[in-house]
Amino acid sequence: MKKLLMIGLDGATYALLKPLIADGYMPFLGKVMAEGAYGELMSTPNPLTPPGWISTVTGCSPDVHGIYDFLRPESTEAGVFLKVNDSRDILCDTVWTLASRQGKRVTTLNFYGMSPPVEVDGYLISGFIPWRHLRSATFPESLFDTVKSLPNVDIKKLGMDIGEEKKCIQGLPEEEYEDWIHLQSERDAAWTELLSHLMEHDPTDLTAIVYDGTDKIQHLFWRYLDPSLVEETTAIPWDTHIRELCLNSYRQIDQSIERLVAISGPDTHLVITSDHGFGPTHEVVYVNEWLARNGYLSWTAQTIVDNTSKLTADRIKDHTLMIDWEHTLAYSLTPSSNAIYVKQAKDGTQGVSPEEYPDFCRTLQQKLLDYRHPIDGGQVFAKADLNENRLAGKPSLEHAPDITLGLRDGGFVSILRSAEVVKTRDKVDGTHRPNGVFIAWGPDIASGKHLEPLSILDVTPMLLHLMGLEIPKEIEGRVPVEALKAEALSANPVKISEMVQPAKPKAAADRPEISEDEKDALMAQLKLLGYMD
Amino acid sequence: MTTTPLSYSPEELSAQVIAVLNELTMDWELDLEEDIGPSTRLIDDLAFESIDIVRFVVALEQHFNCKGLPFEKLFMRDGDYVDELRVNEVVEFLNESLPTAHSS
Repeated sequence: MKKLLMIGLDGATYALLKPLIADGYMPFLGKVMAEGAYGELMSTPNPLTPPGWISTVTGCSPDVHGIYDFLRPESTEAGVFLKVNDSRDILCDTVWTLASRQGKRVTTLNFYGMSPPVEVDGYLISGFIPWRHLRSATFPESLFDTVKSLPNVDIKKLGMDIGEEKKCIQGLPEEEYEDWIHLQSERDAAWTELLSHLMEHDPTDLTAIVYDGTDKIQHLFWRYLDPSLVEETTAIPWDTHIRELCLNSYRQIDQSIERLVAISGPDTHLVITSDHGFGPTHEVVYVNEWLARNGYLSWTAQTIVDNTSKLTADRIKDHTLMIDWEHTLAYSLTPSSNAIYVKQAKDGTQGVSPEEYPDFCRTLQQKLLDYRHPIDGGQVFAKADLNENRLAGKPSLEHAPDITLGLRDGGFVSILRSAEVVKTRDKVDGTHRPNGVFIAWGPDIASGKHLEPLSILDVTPMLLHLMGLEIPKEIEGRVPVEALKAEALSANPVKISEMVQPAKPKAAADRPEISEDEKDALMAQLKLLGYMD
Repeated sequence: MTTTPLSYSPEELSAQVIAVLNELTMDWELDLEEDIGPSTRLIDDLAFESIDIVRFVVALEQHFNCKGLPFEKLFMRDGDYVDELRVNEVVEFLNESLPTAHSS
């Protein structure tokens, strides 16, 4: 039986991969693109790691799986609080459980949001977890002890240091550039070592891994990688050295992919995807400042004005403490969400009433779209998508944004107070784009085919199909049959399961109304996030 | 393993909380002068950081198979966050809170 190897490249974009291939840094990737099928992969409405990877591994959109961001706001009488999303908040099955349920064994490493780990037939270690908590993010737990015993895998290098990762959007001093690039490369290398060991000692039908160093490096070092900016960026030898370090991290990933394919064997299907694309960002847009100037938000008296081009406060508890909730009707709580929430009046609290809600949202949307940069006159908010389900009075997840923004340079909003609504960055950074990558290669894959853009929802159906499995009809994506050889499709036609997936107890529609006790407990848990500094 | 919280005496509850902490910190390579006990301080002795406290709460909820615990009574006093917490304070909190907790 053919093996299936899935490689996730966080934030990968052809804007960089193609020049890297042309310059000889990623020869194996060049080979699989030439011999296989590839095209752009369009991400979720807000192209971000949590919704992007969860849509990748469920085949469902954020409105169905429920993950819009790293955090989720919960509104209470005492104010609005933030809660960390984890696997218990995902409202539909992942490809790991769907494959396990149909008799396939799975190995999945370093995917966002997989902790607490769900039971699979195989091995699972969640990504985005500090090393001190990796044990509780591993299934089966005995795997953790196996990993610890491996001489060539340092368990500490597998974990994610939250403090270091925040520097992606909060900035990094130049003297830390080298160490920071090495940190990313060493983590990617550690995951490769671990996966190689597992594949050699107990191969499974589906093997999947995410390399997230690409995203981190592109955020901070985009100007060193983008061919159109390199000449300007690398004016002195030290800058050239930094660029070489970045380029070598891609060379390392290319070598890792080649190594994993070799271990998997000749009868392997390889699928490479990203959770979103990437591009440059030139400015910072202070969305809460815009809301304040337009009468939607009030700052608390102690809130200081940002003069550092940061996107967010250093401590999560300060996200909510900046806002005067009694005098606020619309707000943004995290940069990564690119979302505006409307404070709705309920249970006697002040806010927008259900009757006022549609007009309120449409007026706010129009004002956002009409806003022009005070100097260049350009439209700053390229999109301001409303929550159409909520507007129509249809069911909508409580934490779904009311408005999802898109900025003209594709960047993330700043939620801080500022003297200006739009500020030009001192240096060009990298930020997310909707168009990522999809690359497939192997015996059943069409050769040398450039695909029209696919949806990120198509990845799970493709993985299930390549394993010869049924695709539950609830999945929103489709099998991209145009990426398959005609004879392979004839021999293995797409099988849609008419049987409804076994309902998970946490399915949104089946959730019982939350009790007052539970609300209190939830609020308490959210308050604990104040410790996240 | 999850158990019914009502079945614990205060001593048993203390042992269970210590067991959760031992499991949580077993890979941390802590250089403790003595084993984790009722007087152990989460921040000064166990070097707890913010994310560790969040994970500790989740571990307690999972271990006792309970939700609905009013953790703000434990971590907030007089409208502000406490600077330190001892294991016996966690045990006292659970002893008061678990019987009225909503079991899932």
